[in-house]
Amino acid sequence: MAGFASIRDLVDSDVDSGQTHYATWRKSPTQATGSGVWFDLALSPGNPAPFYYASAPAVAVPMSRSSSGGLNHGPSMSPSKKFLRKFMMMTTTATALPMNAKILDYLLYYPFIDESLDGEEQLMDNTATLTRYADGAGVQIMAVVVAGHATGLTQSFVVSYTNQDGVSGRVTTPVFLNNQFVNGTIITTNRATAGCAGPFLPLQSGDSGVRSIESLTMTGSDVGLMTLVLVKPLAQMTLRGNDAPVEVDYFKDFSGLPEIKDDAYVNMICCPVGTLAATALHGEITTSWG
Amino acid sequence: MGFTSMDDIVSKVSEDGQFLRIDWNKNFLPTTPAVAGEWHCLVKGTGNPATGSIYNSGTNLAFQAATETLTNAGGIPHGGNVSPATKHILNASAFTAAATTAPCILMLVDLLGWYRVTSVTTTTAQATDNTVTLPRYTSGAGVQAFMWNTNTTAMGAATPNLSLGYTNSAGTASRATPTTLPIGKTAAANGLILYSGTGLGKFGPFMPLQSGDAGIRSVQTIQNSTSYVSGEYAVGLCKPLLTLPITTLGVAAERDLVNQLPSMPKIEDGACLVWLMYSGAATPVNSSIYGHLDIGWA
Repeated sequence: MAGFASIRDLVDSDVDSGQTHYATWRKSPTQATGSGVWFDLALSPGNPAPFYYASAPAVAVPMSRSSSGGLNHGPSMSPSKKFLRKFMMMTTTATALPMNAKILDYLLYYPFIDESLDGEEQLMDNTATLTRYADGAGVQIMAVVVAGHATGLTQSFVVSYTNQDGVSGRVTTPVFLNNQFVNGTIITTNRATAGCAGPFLPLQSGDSGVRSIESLTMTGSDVGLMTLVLVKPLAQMTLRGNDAPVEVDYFKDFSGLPEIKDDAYVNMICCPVGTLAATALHGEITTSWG
Repeated sequence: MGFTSMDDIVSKVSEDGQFLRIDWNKNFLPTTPAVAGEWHCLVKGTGNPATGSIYNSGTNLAFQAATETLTNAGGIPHGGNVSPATKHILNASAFTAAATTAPCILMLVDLLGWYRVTSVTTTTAQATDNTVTLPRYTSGAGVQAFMWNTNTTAMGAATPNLSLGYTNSAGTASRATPTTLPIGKTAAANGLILYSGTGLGKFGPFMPLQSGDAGIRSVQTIQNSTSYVSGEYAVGLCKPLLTLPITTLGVAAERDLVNQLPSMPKIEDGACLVWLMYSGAATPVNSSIYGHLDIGWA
């Protein structure tokens, strides 16, 4: 049976068997961001290298560590299971802090969705499907700016999707575009805009996840392009100040170990209270397997 | 052996004197400032312990074991062997007052040994000599590899892919660095872990291992895909023991290792304790870093 049977088993796997992987990461966003707007660090330079969701418009593309990069959590460990053991984040720049962050498994994306097509249903190509969390349970939709819009605030959109039970034709609650235009912005987030939402699109009542996206329909038009990313949230943390790192031991502090699937593309989103420009974020990621 | 309870720790430390506080000071490398995102091996920095000058001596491609008592190895002295007792780190700290040295991350490793590579213009996989084997962690479980410039002078102008062929901790031979290979930095400076940094092909601090592997028992081949032109480097094998992130100048990063999970990293008899350092900013040459280790044994 893969996984850890006990605390003893976890410790033995780490200390005696060396079944742990350690890496540092660095992200240096250059974009000026606002308060309360979530931002996708996958597009930021550093280590890992940025990933720009650049491929054919509206065609689903699965993401993986081997093809796309992401935080280095180590190689595949099947038949063992790999878990996120510890995570650390720090910065010496105060402007973005305090700042929430989420660690996500980025599963699949639909790039370059046009925001100018008022009322026109834009269909997605689902030739490729989820390679992890294939039933869609717990999978969320994240809408990321990849070519800045111009005004925002008055345009909204809905997404038609298939839920975790395989029921198609499910529809998200209409969500407005925010007015932060830089690439990497999660376009549905803004604490000051009525009709915005959190980092993930609100699903239809009763749904707990998304298996695929069939279409997106705008109400109102703007310029710009967004990418829809299917993600599985793994963990979260809050970096409170620039005078101390946040260090999370997911076993001790959260009584659970988020599983990282083989070849997962793992990266982060964050919600600063000020601009991320010139904010170098540094950290560690430690995984264990058993 | 080892501590059987919290009471036992208190007893051993306070009544039996089985305790040692080690203060150390290590300076960043003396030749070239770090670029943010890079890792360096500080063993050739000055300070206390003194510069480890042995790493560019010995036979090309032959494994050499590092120990606490090896002359000029530059490891932190930790009081000698205690067998049949076992020695553990109870607390650790580090701090710096050197401008732009924070943020950084320090990693304490037990440096088990190294392969010296002087034939840096050879572009094929070079066979190593493993007459000498790992002196500690002999199975290789948890043992990691890193490649660093051991010379005062920089490597030549080249950006070769770097790879190893190795035997893993289960004893399986012919394991290899995965397909996306680490890329060495051009003119890599003294102490630099060659493939660390930011961007494509950068890893830190250790060489990536093949899927399923939990460590390295020995290295059979070492390769730089194109000529590194000049200089020399080493492939170090080490066991990571702890990390300390420093955020703020003048503020000590302190770690209570009794209450971590896993707790109290073990220092094997003969361990060669060396610091690796991740630079979050442009670390100036000779930046001083200070700290201590509290060690107990039972």
